[in-house]
Amino acid sequence: MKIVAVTACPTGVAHTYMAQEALEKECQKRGYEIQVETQGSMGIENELEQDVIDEADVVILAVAIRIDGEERFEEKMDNGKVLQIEPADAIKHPGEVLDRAEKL
Amino acid sequence: MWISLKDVINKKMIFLQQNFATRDEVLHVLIDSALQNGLISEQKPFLQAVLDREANVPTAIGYQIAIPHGKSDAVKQPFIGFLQAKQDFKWTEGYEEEVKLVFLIGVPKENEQNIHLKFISRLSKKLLDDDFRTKLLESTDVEQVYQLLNSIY
Repeated sequence: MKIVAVTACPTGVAHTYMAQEALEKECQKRGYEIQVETQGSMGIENELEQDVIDEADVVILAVAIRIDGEERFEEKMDNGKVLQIEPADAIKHPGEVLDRAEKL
Repeated sequence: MWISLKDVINKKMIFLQQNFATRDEVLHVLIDSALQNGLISEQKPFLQAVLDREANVPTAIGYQIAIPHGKSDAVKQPFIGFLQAKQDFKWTEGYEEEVKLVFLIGVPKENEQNIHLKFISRLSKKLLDDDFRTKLLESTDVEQVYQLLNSIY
């Protein structure tokens, strides 16, 4: 399974990166490929290119603010392949989040 | 690189085996110490930034950890303060989450020192590591915690 995700929180110093780590760890456990773009106080890192997004089975947006480049996910949204959650959900319950993503 | 990172964590900002049971007491101790150690220019605006962030969404994120943080002009340089409580306590009234480890993060509003932010983000990620967290929960030695927090690069 291929997953792409974006994490972002209001201050962008801690939760953005914890959510990234939690999702990456859970995917590693399950043997999934994941690429996580972070939009935090260090700007946009690990930016997702359109072709990478197109190839993904599921998109996880663990965001508590409006993110840059949301339009990149429009097609996935239309296809019901985008899971929108809070960064805290990804940090606290990465297993549940991945379970939900699988079902999309 | 490591020379500037050392500035982010100050031994005087590490408090172990503390007998506090409320968020406000813990914030008070850490912010008071931040002022005394010249990390912030004044308490009020920084405390306000931290409380505003808490009001948005409480920063207790499971794992017995809270990461209160604030971006403010009152912050002179990015820093992390750490407090380990003796007992778990409820971080925010009305929420279930209990914490024992508190990391207070301060970041200047205009921040060009990415290296510090990088360190803070690395540390945040490291908190999801069970072994690392266990060591932080069990340690009673400031020097050991200091080394541990600085060992993540």
